[in-house]
Amino acid sequence: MTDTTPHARPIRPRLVRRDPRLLTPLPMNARYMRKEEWDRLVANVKADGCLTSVPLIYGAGEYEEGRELILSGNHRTGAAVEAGLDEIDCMLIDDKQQKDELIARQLSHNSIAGQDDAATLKQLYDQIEDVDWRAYSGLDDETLNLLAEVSPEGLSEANLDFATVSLIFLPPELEAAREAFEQARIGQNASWLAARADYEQTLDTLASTHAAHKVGNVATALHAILTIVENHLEDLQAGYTSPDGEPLHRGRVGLETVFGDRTLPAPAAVTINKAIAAAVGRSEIEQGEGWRLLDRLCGEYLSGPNYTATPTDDQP
Amino acid sequence: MFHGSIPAPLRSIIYEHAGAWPEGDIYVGCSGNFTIERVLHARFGNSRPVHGNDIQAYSCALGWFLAGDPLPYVLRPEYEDELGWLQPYTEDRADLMATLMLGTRFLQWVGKDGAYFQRMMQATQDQWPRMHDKTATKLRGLETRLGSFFAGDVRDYLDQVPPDDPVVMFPPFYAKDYQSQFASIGAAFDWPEPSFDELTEDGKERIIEQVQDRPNWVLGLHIERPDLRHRLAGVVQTANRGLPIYVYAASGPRRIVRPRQPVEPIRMPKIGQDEALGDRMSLHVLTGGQFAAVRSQFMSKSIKPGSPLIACGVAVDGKLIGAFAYLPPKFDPNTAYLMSDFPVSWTKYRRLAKLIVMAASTKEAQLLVQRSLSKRITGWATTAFTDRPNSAKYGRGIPGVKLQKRTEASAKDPGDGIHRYQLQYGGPLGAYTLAEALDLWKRKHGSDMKKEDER
Repeated sequence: MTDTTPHARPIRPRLVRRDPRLLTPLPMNARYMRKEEWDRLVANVKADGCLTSVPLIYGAGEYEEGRELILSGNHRTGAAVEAGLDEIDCMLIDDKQQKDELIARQLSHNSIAGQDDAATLKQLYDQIEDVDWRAYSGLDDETLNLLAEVSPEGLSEANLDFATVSLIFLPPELEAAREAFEQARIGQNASWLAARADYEQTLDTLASTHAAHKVGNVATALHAILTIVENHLEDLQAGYTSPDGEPLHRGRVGLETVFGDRTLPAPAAVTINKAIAAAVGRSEIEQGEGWRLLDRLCGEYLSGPNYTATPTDDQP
Repeated sequence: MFHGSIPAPLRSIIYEHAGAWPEGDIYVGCSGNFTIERVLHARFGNSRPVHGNDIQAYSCALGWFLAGDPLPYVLRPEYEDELGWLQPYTEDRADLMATLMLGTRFLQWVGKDGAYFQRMMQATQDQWPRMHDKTATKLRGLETRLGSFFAGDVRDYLDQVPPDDPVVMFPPFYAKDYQSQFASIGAAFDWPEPSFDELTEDGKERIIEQVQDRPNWVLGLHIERPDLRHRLAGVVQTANRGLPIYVYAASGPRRIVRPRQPVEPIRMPKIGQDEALGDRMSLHVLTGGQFAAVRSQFMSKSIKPGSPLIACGVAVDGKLIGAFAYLPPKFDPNTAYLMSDFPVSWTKYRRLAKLIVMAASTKEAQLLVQRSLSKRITGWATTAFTDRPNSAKYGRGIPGVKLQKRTEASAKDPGDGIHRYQLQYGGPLGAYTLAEALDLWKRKHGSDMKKEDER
């Protein structure tokens, strides 16, 4: 088949004048205009006092005279209403059309629109000297790359350095969690994973902190929350101590949760260091396991000399 | 941080015009951040002397710095306790200039109570050596120089400018904002503040007259001047909500820049004209371009588009039925602002718009808004412009929604300039799920169909 033109009867459209407010717009229209294009169209119609290209409308007894369907030119008709025009010229098809024909005509007006040769378009546009007529064209100098390229020296002061921390709340999908951890390791900034069930509580805690400190900034509120945790490090003992005083797990925990502080007086630290060094020297504990001396001393303090050293994960 | 810089298209226009001017000195009024001077430097290097002028603490410091003049800025004794640590960074000219430039960021926090301000001040002090070194190094490497700098009223300056030399100027559009920008520098540092008269409307007229009276000039104004119509060399507006800047010039090329929203398609099909709504409603986060496209298609063209915090498409059984977008809270910190909400216009349902509002009020929407802001958001608020005293969309039949304020347009408060009433509505966020919203909407509103002639 070489000719793909539909075998339809030729149509005999005629020019008519219509009130744009009464015509029937297309119920479904794929074509839209950005706000700025619409404003330009309305301004142009206002300036002209008429439409300079005619909408295509369809009647054929299916639409009452004056209320015909706008096949093409829906935006132009709307712009005519917006511009306050009482009458516009339209091209009316009054021959009966099939649904396929109507949709095809509607789409063809938008899709068979041709192409612009960019260089020639620029040349033609650049011949328009008046600013308002340039605007009327619907084009502008920036879009057509007609503005001079200029790179002035930068003049800006340095900004505060900061890092982004993302709190990611996940349902308990192991694979997703692993992947997120991997991403967090690769990335420069940090991602903290938390259980999704904690999300609401986190927001509520943040909300309480925002209100208490009268601060809107989320990072500052989070900082306040961290300060509260820092002041209550001993409360973290609940993470590894059962209500009856037994260990809940054998993993390692922070010394600050024991002492309620991240520091201790330097003389006390020196005494402890000396004692640990002596215990290592007498082969009573291994190098790097100073905690065993504290454990033994505290155990003996509580239970007497028959105390048995605490087993750990590395020492069943 | 300098606010109110000259946008890139305006820089291009100045650059182009300056290329046609005869050899010799060029005079710039109201220099601000010296953008025009830097543009002229990009064109001519330092082969043509460029002269600047301003009255503000920051601009004068920079003007004197670029002109090679002394920088007479001394920390006030009453700030010694809080800012004494700056002293070592005020000895050398570039060091002092860098300190003043950085001051535009942090001096506003000095003396303010509150965890945020204290934290920012502490961080500034902690990071000061790095920030200062980076800024001072940039200043020392700056090649732009000024032939001279005049600290004082631009009208006095223009009186002194040789009558045949070109003048370029973009006077401040909002004089008070401009003056308050650098108040914190003036508060913390003692400096020889120049005297100047307030820039009244008459004062602006005088400036326009003074500039025009010469063979070469470019003047950027925020207002259109019909009397200068024959001198209109360009109009630059980069965003729909931005104000146009009118460029007038003695001669030279004419240029315009209009806003152009980037748009992207949403690949999801939209609900058809006669299709019934399915049973599973879902939200889909949209890109800025996707939201701009769907808004252009279905929202009233009388509303100027803004930039949302988060925008979502609303779908039922995989077919788009509308969209909504939120802005961050404006007044109440727990209430997000529902910037837009609209349905696909061609459906058979008369009250589909209510379903979009309900979708925007769900727990799922709340999660997305909260995720965007990392904080608890419990309500939404919006403004409807209408000629009726109540909104058909928000008015009735959406759980928890209330009319909070009704304002009738007046000369003092014209609203959107089109409609009679401005209605503030608001409601809870997260009171029901998407499934519950769809079920409720179907029961209350789903049977209300458009008539044939409405579609």
